[in-house]
Amino acid sequence: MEMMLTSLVEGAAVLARPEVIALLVVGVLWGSFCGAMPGVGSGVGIGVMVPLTYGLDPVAAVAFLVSISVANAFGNGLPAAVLGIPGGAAGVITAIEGYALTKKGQGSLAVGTNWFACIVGQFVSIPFFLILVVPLSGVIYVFLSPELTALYALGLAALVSLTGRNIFKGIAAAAFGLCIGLVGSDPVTAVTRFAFEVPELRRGLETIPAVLGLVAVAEILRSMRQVYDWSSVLPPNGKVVAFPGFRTLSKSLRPVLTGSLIGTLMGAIPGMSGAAASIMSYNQAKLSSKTPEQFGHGSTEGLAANESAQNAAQAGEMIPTLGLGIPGSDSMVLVMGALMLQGFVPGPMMMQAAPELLYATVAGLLGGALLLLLFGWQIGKVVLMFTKVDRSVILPCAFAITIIGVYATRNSLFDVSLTLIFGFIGYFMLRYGFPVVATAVAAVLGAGFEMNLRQGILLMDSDPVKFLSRPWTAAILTVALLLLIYGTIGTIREMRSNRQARQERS
Amino acid sequence: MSGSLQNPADGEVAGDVAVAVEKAAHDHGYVDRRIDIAVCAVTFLLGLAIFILSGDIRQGSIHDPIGPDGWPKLLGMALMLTMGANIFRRLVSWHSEQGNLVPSDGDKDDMPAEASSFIRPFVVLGAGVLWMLVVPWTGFIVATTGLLIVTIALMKVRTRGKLFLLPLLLSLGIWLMFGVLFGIRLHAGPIEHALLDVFAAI
Repeated sequence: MEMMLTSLVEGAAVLARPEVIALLVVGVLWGSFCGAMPGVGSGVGIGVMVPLTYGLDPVAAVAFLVSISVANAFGNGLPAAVLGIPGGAAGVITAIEGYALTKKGQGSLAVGTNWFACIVGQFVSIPFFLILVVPLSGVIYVFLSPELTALYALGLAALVSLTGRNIFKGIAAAAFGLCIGLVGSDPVTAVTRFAFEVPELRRGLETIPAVLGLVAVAEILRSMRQVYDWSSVLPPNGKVVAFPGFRTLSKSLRPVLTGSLIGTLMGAIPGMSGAAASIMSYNQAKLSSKTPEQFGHGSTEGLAANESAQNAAQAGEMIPTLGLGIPGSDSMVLVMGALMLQGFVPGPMMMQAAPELLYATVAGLLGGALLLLLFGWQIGKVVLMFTKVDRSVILPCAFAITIIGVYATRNSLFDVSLTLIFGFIGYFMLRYGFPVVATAVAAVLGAGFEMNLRQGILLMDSDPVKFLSRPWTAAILTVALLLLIYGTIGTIREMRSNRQARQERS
Repeated sequence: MSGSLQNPADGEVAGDVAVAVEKAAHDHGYVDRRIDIAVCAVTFLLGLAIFILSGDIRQGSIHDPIGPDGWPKLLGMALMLTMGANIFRRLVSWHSEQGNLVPSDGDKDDMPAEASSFIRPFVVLGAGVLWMLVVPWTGFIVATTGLLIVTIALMKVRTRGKLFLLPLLLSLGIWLMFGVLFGIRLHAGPIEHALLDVFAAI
């Protein structure tokens, strides 16, 4: 507790420095912009800025880079909510729930909920980060492949919330997503699978082009079937950017708080992404919701749970990065690189040798969240204004920007071809009731699940009993199994009630 | 160009049957069960292919109880079982359902009252493929401007500013944004030197 209070006070002291404030403003604007650009994300956003930090004071540099990461998570959800185009994998659920709200003329509510969940997620995760950074750093040492397998299984069990109206198609969509992870080098024996002599496939399919194809391109293609003006789906009073009000937003407080906790804990585990945290949080929100039937059709609870988890995961990712020197994500690799360039070695010793870097991280998290509290809604309003622009122009531009974003990430036309192929597949999936979100999330989790499962079994001398009887593994797998059973029952009930309603209508 | 892409419900393309099917589909959130079965069959075949091809995967030197082929076989079976079940469900209820239009498991069109084009998404996709093919020769700006003009025209926009000026400015803007802000130089093709000279002069 003493460490938490000291860190908060020292972090606030860092925030009082004018040059830090100026850098954080730049970081937040830049991070939001990069997050909103399909395919760009925090990796490029931080990567571009790292060389500029060489000449900065280490404390200011760390706070600046952390603020980019914070704002990136917020920006990721904005085009997803307004246009159905996620900036990255963590925004796929926002593209479903938020965009469904926008199509109902409730774009302000979608962006407002996104903003609210982001802010609360960030603020809640900071004390958790400070409380957990030391104890979790120790716990992570016992999280080996079996425990990670169990966590991935928990994420995959959560997919039951995304099966859609037809459970067979839902399972097939998830299985197809998992198949994406099969391509390339085998994680244990390194033999090549399903590469068909194509050199690019030997390294495996890149997840981001596939996910953007499945979610963004497919949705753009589906939307381009019709030519109409957005004015017909906007509020009749024309107030596109009316703030929904804190009373309305506070209705999502419960899923936001739960999502924040899940996000912080999941983000703390190296290899577990914000996408995994957001799907678990979404599943938890659906299972505990009084209106689960709204999920998938514009649920503010689902949107809030997803966004709070992925934002809170940003603070969680700092725990292994600073505590152990193990980066929690690609952007954390760059933050670590920047620290090393400044002459620090991230890890357990750094917290004692250079506590000012912990304070700088707190300043980045706190300052980023405060600036988003002040300007986040304004940034959201700018994106919301896109719905006032001619829809017939916005959709082609969104299509072009998506494929250019994919191309620019690695200068690879092969990645563009993947995006277009998965866009084509995703279009048919949307039309014929295969949930693309289940495929996208499974594509993100699939490779990690197989790798940890097989490495874990090898680690346990090929003994499944040894594998399953590890305390953390057994506990997490039990939770995953219970979630799967509970979720399946809920999905079947929902399908039955939908069928009944349809029969009554006809 | 837009003639072939007009709304089928308007009767400008395709036959009456296709028009009726498409119109009913977007009016009521229904799909043609024959296409639904075809999509499921393709997914079933994908599962079968994964299952069969898994047999050809080399085992490698590390003995691993699951093996490089274990997980793919399981996923192949999952695809076959789920799609087999779905096809079976459709076939069992074949005679009890009237006509080929059945309630859709998927999303309806945004605006049930508006006409929708079956062909437009595929032409947009085709334009994307063409962009990919020409970008190494024409460079990024020419290819992207062309892509935007085609796709905006497909959305029935005929205003000159939106159709020609906006694509050109947006392509230039994106090229500059990636080059200046992200440090990612997008190949501008034959006009690269001219552009760099212009910006250097500015």
